[in-house]
Amino acid sequence: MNKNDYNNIKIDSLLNDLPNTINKKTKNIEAGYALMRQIENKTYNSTEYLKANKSHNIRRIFAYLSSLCISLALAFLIINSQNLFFVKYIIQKTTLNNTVETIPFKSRAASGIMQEDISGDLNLEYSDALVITADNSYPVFQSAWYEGGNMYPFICINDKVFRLLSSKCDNGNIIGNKLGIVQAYAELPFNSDTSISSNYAVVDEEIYSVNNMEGTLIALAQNNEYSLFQRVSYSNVALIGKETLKDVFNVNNNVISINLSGVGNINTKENSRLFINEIIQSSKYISANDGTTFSNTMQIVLENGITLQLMIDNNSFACCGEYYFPNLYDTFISYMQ
Amino acid sequence: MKGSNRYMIEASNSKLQLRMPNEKFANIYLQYANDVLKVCYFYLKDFEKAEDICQETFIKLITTNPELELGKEKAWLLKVAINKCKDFWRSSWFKKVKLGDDGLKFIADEYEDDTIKIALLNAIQDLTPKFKETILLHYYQGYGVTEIAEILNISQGTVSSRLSRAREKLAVILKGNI
Repeated sequence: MNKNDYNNIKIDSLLNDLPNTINKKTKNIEAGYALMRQIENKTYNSTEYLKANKSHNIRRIFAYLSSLCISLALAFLIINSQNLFFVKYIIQKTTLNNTVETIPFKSRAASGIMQEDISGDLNLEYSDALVITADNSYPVFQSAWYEGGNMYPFICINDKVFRLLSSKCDNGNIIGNKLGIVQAYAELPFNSDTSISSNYAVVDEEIYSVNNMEGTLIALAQNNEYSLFQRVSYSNVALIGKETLKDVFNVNNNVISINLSGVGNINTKENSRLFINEIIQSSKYISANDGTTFSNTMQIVLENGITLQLMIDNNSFACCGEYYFPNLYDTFISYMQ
Repeated sequence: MKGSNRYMIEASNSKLQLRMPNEKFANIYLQYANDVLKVCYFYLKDFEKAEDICQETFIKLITTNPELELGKEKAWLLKVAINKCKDFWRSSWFKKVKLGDDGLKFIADEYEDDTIKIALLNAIQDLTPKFKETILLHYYQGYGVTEIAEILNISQGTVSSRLSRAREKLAVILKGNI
């Protein structure tokens, strides 16, 4: 074997081991979730895409409406054309800015509105004869959490942290078993040797579970009403033991509506239930991130009057820990209709 | 059928429908993004630029939503990524700033005698792009001559020739270094 043969054999064996060599030397190079989110931001979550998606659906609705109006117009012109000239206006109401616009007679005639539908009265209270809704409303960001101080009010039970919600509850029927009493004051969670500590509740105040929402909500009894606390992650501690998302976000099909800030609302119970089920089944746990830097909220209104909150960032949401849910915005919008 | 059409059956005409569903994207990304990023990194010797090109590649995947044959997704991604790397490498800006000249150099492990492996990685870095991409696709990504010919849109003979010449060049470089 001459020197060239030796080199060739050596190089071939080295090249054959190239995947191991490269992977070993580039183990720090990783296309992670951050890059994934950047890509999603530039595609799925871009304003143009969301608007296009939304306007696509709105256009479809208007197409149906237009067909209906044309049919009605033809029927109207044939059957009752002599009464047409007594009607002056129709009313258009949008949820965008709650303004009322009047549309001149000619436009109205073209849209084929029946005379009886508008009965000559332009007062807003009686103007629901024809309501064309264009749900472009963008609700103002509003947090369901009680805000206060550098550290939010919390109760920590056996290393599980619960954050105070702004709404209180005076409905004793939803309150469950007594979980214990506050044993110590602590400025921060985990900063106490006792099993129940708080920076908000007074020592000896009683803590209760909330019916059908164990693990997700707790109630603190104060002055004949209950302050409610929602389970969150804190300082890289999220799920404990064998907990899953369903354990810490146990809404038990009781959702009646959902608001996603900047997008809109799911208003029916059925769609709300389907959306939440999809989230619970398809989300993947990412980290113990508490989502405090996230810029959007999802507020979940329950039948028992309680509103829970998730923090939203692109296709991630923070509940008790951060979860990845592909296509979050598109899925939400699909249930808005 | 030529070039990228080999992997594509048909694209949708609707601008909205054209976009790949997010879940499908996420699956493909989680499977192949690391490979795409590492190939770009080797090609350009610059991590930030490699990340940019990786991002552009997946944006193209989403926005064009090609209907790819099962198992051909990675080949499509590498083809797009390599073409983007080539465009970037050819760009006057890249030549002007000579990115990577002082960038990617592998260093031997303090606790392991991997000097020769490191020498090989650095030797691959010193190859010209056409040899480098062929070596990476064959030995790193495991593609055969036929598949490389499809990805690079060149003949199988050219692929074989490049592989052979690349090995010779590597031998010469290593001989000088070892």
